[in-house]
Amino acid sequence: MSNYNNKHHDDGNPFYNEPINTSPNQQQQQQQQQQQNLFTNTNIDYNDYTQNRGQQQQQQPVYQPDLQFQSFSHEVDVNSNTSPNNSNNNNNNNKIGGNSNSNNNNNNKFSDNAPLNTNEDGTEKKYRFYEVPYYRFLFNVDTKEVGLRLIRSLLPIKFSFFNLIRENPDLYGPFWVLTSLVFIVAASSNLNEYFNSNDRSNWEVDIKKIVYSAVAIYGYSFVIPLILWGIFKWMNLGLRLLDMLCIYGYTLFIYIPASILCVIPLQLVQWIIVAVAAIVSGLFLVTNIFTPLKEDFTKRGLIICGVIGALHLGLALVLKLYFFANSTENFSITDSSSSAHPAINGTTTTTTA
Amino acid sequence: MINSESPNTLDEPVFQTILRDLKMVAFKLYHVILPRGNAVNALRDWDLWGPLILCLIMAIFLSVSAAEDQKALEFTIVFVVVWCGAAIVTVNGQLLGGNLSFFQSVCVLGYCIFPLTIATIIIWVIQNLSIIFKLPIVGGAWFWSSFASYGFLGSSVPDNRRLLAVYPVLLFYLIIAWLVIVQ
Repeated sequence: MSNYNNKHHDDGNPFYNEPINTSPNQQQQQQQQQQQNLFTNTNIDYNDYTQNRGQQQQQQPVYQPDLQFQSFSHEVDVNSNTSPNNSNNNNNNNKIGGNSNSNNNNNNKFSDNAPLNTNEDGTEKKYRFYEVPYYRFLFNVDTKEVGLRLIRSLLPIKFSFFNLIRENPDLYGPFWVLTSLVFIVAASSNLNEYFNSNDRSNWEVDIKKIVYSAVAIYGYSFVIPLILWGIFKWMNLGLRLLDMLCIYGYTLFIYIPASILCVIPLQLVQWIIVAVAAIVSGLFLVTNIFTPLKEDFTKRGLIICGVIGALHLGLALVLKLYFFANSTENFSITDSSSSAHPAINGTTTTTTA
Repeated sequence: MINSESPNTLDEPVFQTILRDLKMVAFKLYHVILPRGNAVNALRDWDLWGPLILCLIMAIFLSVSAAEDQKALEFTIVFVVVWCGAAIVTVNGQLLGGNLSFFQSVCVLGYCIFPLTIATIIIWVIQNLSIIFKLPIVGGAWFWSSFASYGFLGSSVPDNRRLLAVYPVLLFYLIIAWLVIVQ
């Protein structure tokens, strides 16, 4: 973790602000006005590019925590300028990253300019945007870092997830969490149906669940971050699309153990598990997204976070009611279904077979 | 030698050509499956026939034993999972900093499905096997597949990311194993 986080606050809460030193640098003041006191990732340079290197060097000594986030951690070993805070252990070797157009234009997450990458041995190697290693900057995490982020997603206590991933958002975690979740939901859902079915020898697995769970989970985790990113961009918050994708991916991590536990055939237990998972992950999501909104957009932020929370609960409900449905809750079951669903079990109604 | 061989192979009977390819596939299967040290050399010239044959065998067997209205879907899912899964796992390894060649890695992952294909055939032949027997067979096949491909792929990424690169391989074979075990 970089120094500046620990230097100023414990949990990365950005609102213990130090007074802003007056900076002689014109551009820095400009940027301060642009970004105010928000999480700003607009100045993350995933890589160096020559026209801005001088500016970065000038700004470093008057670096303001959390206000001026110049990410130096992406400078690679061949570069002479280094961040004073560059102690992130991810930075020891290949920081291979893409390029973005200019300092003011850093909201885009990918760039099609000719990138500048380096190899492990320090030689520079250019990758184009259509080559796979160009995107290595999205996967620049170690096992420990991924583990740390996953564990942080289970604790909605600290509101600083964006701080955690500010320098180094990764797509490894979100993508594999989502993929694992798709598969595990489908598998547990089938297992749950098997346990609930009365005719176990004739039970057939429902392969369509894989497709449905893929659609639901991938759709939720791509579309909503896209919309949120659009909204935040319109509000000039400076959150990147990568941040949104990251947080949504890690949010859903808790559903993996929840889904595995949901094969317990007791309905009450299932509801409790899903509720706990939904609340923990919803809290994590909402508190972390609310943090950059808190200062300037409190009312709007509340509304946005309310909507996010509602959508998240909606996902939890869909998960429970469709994938882990017991026959009493399955509204779409008709009489012509297979023998796995005889007369309604008498848990909520009093009719018997 | 090379120049004089190419017109010769055009003249040879088709059966001989196919036989040569089959021998190549069998040779690779043998080297990949029995975890020996020189597996890497044996796979240096990759081919995708072997993975295709294995994938088709598995897809056909699983599709035949699937539910009535889901036969086509099952075949599709097996096919897509195997090929797209292998591609995604390979790209993941490359993105994490490994120096894998794409097709070579897809080739290895495809060949390492062989134990799961054997498990599929066993379960299909011995019908109505109870879950007590299916689980160790498929579990053992899963472990064998993962171990075989780990020997090849595990050394290609840096040490601090090894688990990150290995986990998708495990997940890949786990998905296929699940498809086998619920047939």
